[in-house]
Amino acid sequence: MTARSTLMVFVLAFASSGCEPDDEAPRTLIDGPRVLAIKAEPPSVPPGGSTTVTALIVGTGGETPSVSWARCRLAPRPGEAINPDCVDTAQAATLEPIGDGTTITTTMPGDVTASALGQPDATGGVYLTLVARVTVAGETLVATYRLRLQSPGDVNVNGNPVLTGLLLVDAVGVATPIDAAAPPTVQAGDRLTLQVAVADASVETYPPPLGGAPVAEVLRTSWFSTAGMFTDERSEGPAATTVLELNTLLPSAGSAIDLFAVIRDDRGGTDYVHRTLTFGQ
Amino acid sequence: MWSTRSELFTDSRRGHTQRPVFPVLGPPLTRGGIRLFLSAATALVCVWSTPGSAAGAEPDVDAGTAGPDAGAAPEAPPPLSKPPRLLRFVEATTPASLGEAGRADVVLSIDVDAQGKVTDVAVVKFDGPEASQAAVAQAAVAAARQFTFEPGEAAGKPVPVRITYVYHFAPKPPPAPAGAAAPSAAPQGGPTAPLDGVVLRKGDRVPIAGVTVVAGAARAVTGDDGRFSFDALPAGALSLQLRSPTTSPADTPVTITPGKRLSLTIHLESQERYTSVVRGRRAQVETVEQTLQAEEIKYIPGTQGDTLKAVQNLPGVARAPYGIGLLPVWGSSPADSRVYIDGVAVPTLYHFGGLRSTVNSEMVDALTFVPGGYKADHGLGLGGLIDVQTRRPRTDGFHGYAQFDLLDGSAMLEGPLTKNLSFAAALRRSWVDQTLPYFTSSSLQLSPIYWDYQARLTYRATTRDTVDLLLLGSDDRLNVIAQSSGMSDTTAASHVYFHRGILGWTRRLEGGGAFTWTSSVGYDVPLDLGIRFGGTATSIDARTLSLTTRAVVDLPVRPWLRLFGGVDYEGSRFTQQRAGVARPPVGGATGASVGGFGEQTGSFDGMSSGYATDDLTVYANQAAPFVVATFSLFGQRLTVTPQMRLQISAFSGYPGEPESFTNTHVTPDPRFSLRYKLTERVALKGAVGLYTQPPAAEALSRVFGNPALEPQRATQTLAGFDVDITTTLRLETAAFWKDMRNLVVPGAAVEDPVLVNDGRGRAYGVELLLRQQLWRNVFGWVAYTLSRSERKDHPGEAWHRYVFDQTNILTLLASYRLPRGFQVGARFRYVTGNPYTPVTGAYFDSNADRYVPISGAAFSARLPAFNQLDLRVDKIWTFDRWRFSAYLDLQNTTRATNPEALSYNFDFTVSQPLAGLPLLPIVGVRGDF
Repeated sequence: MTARSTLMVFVLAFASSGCEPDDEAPRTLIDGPRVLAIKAEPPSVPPGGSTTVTALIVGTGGETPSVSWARCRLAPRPGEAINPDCVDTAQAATLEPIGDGTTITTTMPGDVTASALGQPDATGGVYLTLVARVTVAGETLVATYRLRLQSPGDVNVNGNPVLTGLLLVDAVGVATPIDAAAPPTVQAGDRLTLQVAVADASVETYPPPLGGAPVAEVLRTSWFSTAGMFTDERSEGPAATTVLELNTLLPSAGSAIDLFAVIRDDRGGTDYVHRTLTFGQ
Repeated sequence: MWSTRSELFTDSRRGHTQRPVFPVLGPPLTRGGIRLFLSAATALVCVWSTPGSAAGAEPDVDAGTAGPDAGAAPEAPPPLSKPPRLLRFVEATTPASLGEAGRADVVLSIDVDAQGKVTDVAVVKFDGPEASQAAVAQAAVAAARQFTFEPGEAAGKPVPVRITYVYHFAPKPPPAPAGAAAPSAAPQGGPTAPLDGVVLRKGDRVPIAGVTVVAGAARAVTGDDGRFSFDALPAGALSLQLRSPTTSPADTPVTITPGKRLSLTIHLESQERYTSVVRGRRAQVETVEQTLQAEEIKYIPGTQGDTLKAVQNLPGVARAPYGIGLLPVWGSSPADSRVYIDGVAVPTLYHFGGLRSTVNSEMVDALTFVPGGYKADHGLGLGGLIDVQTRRPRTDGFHGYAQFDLLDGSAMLEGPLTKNLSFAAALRRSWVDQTLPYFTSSSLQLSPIYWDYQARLTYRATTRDTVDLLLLGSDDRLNVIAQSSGMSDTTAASHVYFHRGILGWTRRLEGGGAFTWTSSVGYDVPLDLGIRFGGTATSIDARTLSLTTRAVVDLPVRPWLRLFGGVDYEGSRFTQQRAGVARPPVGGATGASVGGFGEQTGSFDGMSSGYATDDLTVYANQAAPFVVATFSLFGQRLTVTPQMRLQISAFSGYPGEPESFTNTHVTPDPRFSLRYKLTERVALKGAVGLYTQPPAAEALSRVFGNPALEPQRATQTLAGFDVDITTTLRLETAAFWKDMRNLVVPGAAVEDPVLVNDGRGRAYGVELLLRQQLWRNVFGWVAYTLSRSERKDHPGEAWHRYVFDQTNILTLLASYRLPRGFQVGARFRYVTGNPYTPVTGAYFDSNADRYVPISGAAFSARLPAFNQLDLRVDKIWTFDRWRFSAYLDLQNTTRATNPEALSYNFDFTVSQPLAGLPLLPIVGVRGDF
């Protein structure tokens, strides 16, 4: 394909990716079962090492989800995040079951090598693909998590960023933690400025794979709620903020509004926090 | 398929009384003895050639034999620059059967060869007493066979021309009474003065030949330069009467002052406003080809007067999404077709998005489109070829234009610098980035900015040698800002451009041959793209420095054999700095669907496997000697053309580095074509051949490609027939089959190189073109293609539709010239929707925080069909020295919501079609002088 054809399709794809169907609920709205995040502690594991993996599943209506986990050792091709056969039900033989439940403990296979997991990404990492099949409320959801392989000699091994809480910022800029035990009451029409509280040292650095000065991780926060709309669905930085506008998608009076913030770094590190608000009138 | 009719000349010699074709003035015919009478003002020229220039009365010429389907000359014949001129007229013997008072008109078709000799005469029509028809026609033919001409010329060399000639038999007027003055002399003894002048066409000031100027009893006729003169006219008031078949009648009062010369410039309204009227047929060069003449097609609706966009309406050309200017031809990738300007390859014909072509339409003389099966003088592509021929600057004074519409503004100036040196220069600059926001959403901002230039010098060094220098370039900048709430800070910017300097030398050889040498230097930036998503940058910066040379000899060896051969060389230095992941090429041999998009930020976020950087340098040298032999057999009914092209491609990459490589490929490409005239109106045609397309330089990257890639290959076979229903209505049909091998596709397994030669392709179908050339103010065509294009990516895999597979492509267009300078046109298109790969589900990628679609069978679904009606209205005001025109080009008049792609929500559970541009009115104004 010529360079000009490449450019055409880049721009078409790029431009169209900003186009979404009209009148669709925003991605931030939790109105049914969803997997918001998968967290591994630690997120980077050497061969033979173990990690605890947890899936953040919301919108279940109180029902306990059934989660089955598997790992896939098929390497992605260049340009792919994971090998498509890992999520193809017709290729079930490629998956190795590793446990059931919202939280499991699994190990990185002792015989795995970096070259067997494909070519590194922009951070220089290779990953083992974990696949979670979640069945809840009559739906089956599929989610993946790429567990980073810690190789011998790795410096600046990745750790998860740590969210210590969620802050409510008032009109004069004073940030107050939202008390999980005493959720604040909000009204229709309110505009709530929210900010994540991130522990120090959550922003790590790592050597770029192609050489050069160490790169500081970019922390990206995704916002979710069961009511209202955010001005920014995703924010960047250790002090990421957004505004929740309670003009639409409102619950009944007296209901709880669930808030979730999920923070991620460049190398698979994840954390999340949950708070609630009480909706008044 | 073109020819031009135009008034040629008048003949006032040998005492023949001049009679205009339309006898609206002059003394009544007197009875008396009958003599043969020739009115040269009625001579018509009908030639077989390529279309002439846009504004000048440049009839077409057949550069090959005079036969309509000779196909002898592989190169497209240039327009006629000089019509044949009668040197020796022979008076026919009047048959007795005509009678003393009888009159008759015999319309003859006369073939004049390149030496000016008459080779064939045929009677086309007879108007006179039926009883004398045979004898009179025989007498006219016998006389015409003895005519001698100064041969017509095209591109500075004599060419055979077929003319239509009217031989008038009329009673000889009685001799003038004794002492009567000669027609152009003043009454004896009275005061007189000379008068001279020039007759120009209103608007573009083109000299008009063959206009009869009557001044009292005196008459004169304008020559090729439009000039006339009277040696001595009687003093006093006088009315000059100007009459000719192609101009409106005009009377001009003048006052002759004794002893004072009067010089006039008279502007006449032309009855054929755009004299490059095309009729008849040019010598067919390729088995399947269409040649479009600039003047005729610039009024096609939906093209905004852009000549080169008309190629998108021809059969065999699939429609790209949003009409973005890609040209998928006969099931091939757009990358497989080659675009030439004056024989030199350029990277693209259109500015970004297909808004406008990169060459100003006013610089274009003709565009030849060959969808496939082209001859051995071209190569390096598995698709079709588009050959744009620019025209030589006009030498009849300074001319130019300026135009403004919603998209851009452009201007051009041309004219003679010396007797043998002429120039033309054109420039265009867009402002669509200011107007486009009115048609796009606030969440998506596109800012395309483009400009282009062309400058040409033509020097007639000798009567046999012409040197041309052409400089041209194109520049596109595009900024895209997508403000979806799903992305943070997403921008893209690109800047692509190319420049060329082309030097050409044409030498006319003895015996009708020609030698052509063309060299060029060029600098391209085909892709300079930067995309930043968050903290990760993807960038591609590619540049090419090129040098080409082409030397061709065209030799008529025997009356039945013509040889055309030469050498084609293209050399380049390609450099590319790239950072990102090796994403499979979309829309290429396999390609992911371009029909569906969602949150597919994919490789932009840096989380995909294979992030790398590359600094690539590739030297490419591609040389190809070729020979084309054309045998004309059985009285030129059968034309057989065996050909051979030996393509030699040498690549060396990463020079001086440990990973350097050198690859050389030598591929013979034999080809064969034939054409058989079943009858005078029906011809059968066929061709078969091998085609080679070397790998693109960027595909030889050791990081993002594969240095060991081999050339892609194809066998193309086609057959069909052409029917000349009338002299202006023609039907062309073709069935085609293309078998493609060694196509470059992404590697299947992780351990495979990023790109491999595993792909296979096949495309087959039929097409037809029913075309009405300009006739009684109407022109248009119906183009239809029924086809299938498929790909197989790796051995053992199933065939699937190609991304540009469009089963039905129908285009209907017509344009009609109304009185008072109005012209209206309509175009309707129906195209089967593009295939796309359906989404059958999705999974959530927690690391990237996005849903990833799970695809169904490749290209197993189709978008709804596309249909669109475009209308156009032009109004032209013609003044003496200039012309003003305005147009309204309405695209998608019925506001059809044609889905161009699918858009998905964040988890791919809901989709909706993305429509193309709604009703789009383009208003433009233009001034020509």
